[in-house]
Amino acid sequence: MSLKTDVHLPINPSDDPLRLTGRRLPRWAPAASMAAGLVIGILLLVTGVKILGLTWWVVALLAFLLIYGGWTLSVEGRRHATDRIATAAVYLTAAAAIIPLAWILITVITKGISAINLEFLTSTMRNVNPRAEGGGILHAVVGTLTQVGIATLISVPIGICTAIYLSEYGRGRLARSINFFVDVMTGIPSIIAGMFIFTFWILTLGFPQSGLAAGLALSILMIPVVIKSAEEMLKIVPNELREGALALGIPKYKVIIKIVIPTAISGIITGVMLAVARVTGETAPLLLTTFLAQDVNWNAFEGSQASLPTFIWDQIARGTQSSLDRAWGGAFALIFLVLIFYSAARILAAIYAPRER
Amino acid sequence: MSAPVHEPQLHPGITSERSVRPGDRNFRFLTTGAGITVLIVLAAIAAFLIWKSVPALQNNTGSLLTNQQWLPDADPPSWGISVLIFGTLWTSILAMVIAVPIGIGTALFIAFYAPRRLSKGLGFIVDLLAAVPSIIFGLWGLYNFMPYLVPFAEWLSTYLGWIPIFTNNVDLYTKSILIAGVVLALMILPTVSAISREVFLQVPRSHIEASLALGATRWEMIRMSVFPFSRPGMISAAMLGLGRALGETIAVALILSAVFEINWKLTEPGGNSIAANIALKWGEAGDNGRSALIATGLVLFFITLVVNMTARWVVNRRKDFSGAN
Amino acid sequence: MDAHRTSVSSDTATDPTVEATGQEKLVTSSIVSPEAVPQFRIELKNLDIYYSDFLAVQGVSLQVRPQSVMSFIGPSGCGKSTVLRSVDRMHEVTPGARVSGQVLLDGEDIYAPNVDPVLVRRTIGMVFQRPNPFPTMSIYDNVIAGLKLEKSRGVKKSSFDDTVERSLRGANLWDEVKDRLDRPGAGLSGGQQQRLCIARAIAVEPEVLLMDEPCSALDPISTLAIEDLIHDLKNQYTIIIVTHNMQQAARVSDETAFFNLESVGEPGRLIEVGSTTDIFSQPKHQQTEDYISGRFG
Repeated sequence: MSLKTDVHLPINPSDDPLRLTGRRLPRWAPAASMAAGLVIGILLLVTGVKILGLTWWVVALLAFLLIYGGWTLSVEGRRHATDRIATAAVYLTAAAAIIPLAWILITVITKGISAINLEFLTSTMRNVNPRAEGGGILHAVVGTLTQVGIATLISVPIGICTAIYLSEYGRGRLARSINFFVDVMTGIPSIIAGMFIFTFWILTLGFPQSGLAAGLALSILMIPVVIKSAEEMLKIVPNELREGALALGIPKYKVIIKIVIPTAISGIITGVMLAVARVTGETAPLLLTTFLAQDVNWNAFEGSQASLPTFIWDQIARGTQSSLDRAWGGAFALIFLVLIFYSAARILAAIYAPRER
Repeated sequence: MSAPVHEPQLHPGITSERSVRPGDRNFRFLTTGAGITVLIVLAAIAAFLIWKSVPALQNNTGSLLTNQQWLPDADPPSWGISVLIFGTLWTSILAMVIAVPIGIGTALFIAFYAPRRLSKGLGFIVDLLAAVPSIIFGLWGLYNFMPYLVPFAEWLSTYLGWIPIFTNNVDLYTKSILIAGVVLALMILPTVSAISREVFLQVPRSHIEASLALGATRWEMIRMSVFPFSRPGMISAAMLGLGRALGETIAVALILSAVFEINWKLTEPGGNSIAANIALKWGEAGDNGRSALIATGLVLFFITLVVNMTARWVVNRRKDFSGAN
Repeated sequence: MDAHRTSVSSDTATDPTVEATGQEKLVTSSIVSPEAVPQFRIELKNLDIYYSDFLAVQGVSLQVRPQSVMSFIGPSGCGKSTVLRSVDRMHEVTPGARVSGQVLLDGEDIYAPNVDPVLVRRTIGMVFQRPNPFPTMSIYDNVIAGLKLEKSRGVKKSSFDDTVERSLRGANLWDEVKDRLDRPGAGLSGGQQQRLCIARAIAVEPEVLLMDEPCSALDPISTLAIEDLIHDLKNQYTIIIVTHNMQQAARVSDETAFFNLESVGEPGRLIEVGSTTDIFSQPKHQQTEDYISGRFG
């Protein structure tokens, strides 16, 4: 065994004072570098000088990175410099993700809220000239709620029952194919769902364009999402629960209905709400199936019916300033609806989370 | 004297799944039926759309793959998918190139850099981007974001114009593939980030501690322990993001200028994707036009399917070798 | 001081020349400047260890001599692993975890404000309960994983060959793997993987080696192999080992520290520390005696 025999004795700390600390940047180094970068950027802003045509805050950012990187490289060495620059880069990407989101939300809220008033919420676009002001989204809101409602009524029973089959019964080839094709269905582009319903339901079967058609198209998109999330929630229910109930002589279907489903119900509801939030914002399938009504249509089974997404699309297409204002108002209402559902679902999920990581 | 022989009574339901109890049978029938309904619906969609796309494919006078026109309702019909496939792929790949680093960086931030109390909230906020409807992305992208991107596009063509994809020969920078790509990137960012985040949070503590105990810095730990373990998951996240970008319709339809031509230059007003084309042309399309649009839709569906299936395969194949115990 | 040192190492097989030289050096340097050279490799002073607001371990003070093995024993949950992990600043990797008090390495507080945890962990190595070789790396790459961090890029792999052989020999693994250094590290048996982790830890030439129940996931034969290894490693490194196996502590260590909890929810405390023979044959506290004779734990 070739062990060295030079034994390490305790070292006098004053012999190598940097042994444990290395050379470190002071704690205020990042802030100082940021300030330096900012100063350089503001200098450029004030004097109007452009380096390589870059805007001042881009230069400020680059200056910060260069100063910080160079500083740490010279003091702390390559390893810590890489670590610090990586940290800065990671923070930057997080900002790049969050800033646009905040931007979108703030834009929609500020531009949209000015359009929202009682008249906007209770009137329709009937007889409203695109160039004129006024008009409202009542017909669109009614349409969206109706269509999403229909989609939910169709998707939830089929979706949950399929999920139950996959989780509780399916073991063989049928279950595997259903699983595979549900995966395929989650990837259907939304416009294809719209194309199918238009050509099949409206053209071939001859039904009129209607809110129902739109609801059908939405349910094609909603069913796979409901199935996947419900199946996951059901799979989380511990097997011991099922076995304990079966051992008591309770028939399987009662075990599922009375024990398994109630245990998973909060997760299933969350999944359904997330699916609802998703389809509420879908535009493409609606464009193809309901066209663009200007008045309220309370009858979901006949006649074109507006919806919030198609309302926004339509108003953008009109091209006038008042139409654009109305579009922002509609966007506000739409985002409001979607985010309510979405946040409620996430909060519910967090409260009733059955497992911890 | 012989004692009566008791045969063990077989209770229905214990011996097999096939119970004679009506409640069980009906319920099982109901759930199986639901599953089969889903299969039937999907089969119907595929079959019906394929059937409906045949006429346009048959009477197309141009070559499907190379024709760069869109005149399916003309006499004779002449249309091709090359422009559409190019536009679809070009915008989606650009979106992926932008979204993947940002998504992975955000996931790293939430998993390894942010204070524990903030990370759940941050995850919620990033996921919130996923809930924003695409029409709103289109609206905001067109009217609010584009004016800020245009100077950037100008800068690209001025200073990096020697790279062919950044040249701009028409001095018009609006409604370009670059802008559509950036907006698409924001739309798929939450998908990439959420999946990456899941994978990062699953790296076993023992791997992380092994590198830290050797005296690794945080970034070295991520490179030594996290990335090798998470590679299949990150690839899958990127591909699923790509899949979403491919199918996105409305934002692209609003932002692109819908010129029907193959144009590599990112900053010039540009092209068309399959989905956007359908959305824009459906209303005025005649019978053959609709048939042609359906054909393109099926091509899109096929491409998306291949991408999504590959993403799943990557994860499943490498699960055995990822070192997870 | 010298007499103390002799009694500590008397029951373990040590190279007498090394020990004599050590004593000599200690005597010479103590003549020159008695305060400057610290006597202990590791010293804990009044260490309190927290998980957020929860006090897990309270008031630990002990000293570990160079080139010796100290074992931490005690019932589960008493905090011995927590104390071990605070010696190389691994404890603070858990969010919210912190310590108060001092941990001195050669007289220097490793928790001083400007200290770089990266350097601390370089100087104080750790081997974990479950062997954790990097799964995507070969045996060779596993051993030099820590070294590669320090070397700049462009250094050829072959220049590490000597280090790899030295470390694998030091871990008693060389003969078994010398022909398959490029195979994945995760393909070895449990005992081999643990020795690979030890090789990886000593490749960076730390001064102290911490071992957190290194044999508890291994079979008896591998356990014996690792205990033999510890005997050899002691000549070069200072070792602290946490073990729930008292016989192992008796076999392997020069000194033993016994930790215990009053009751659930109370912080763990150091009850008694001393030479292994003393702890096992003449414990000073009743709790120690009870634990050693198996009345609890």
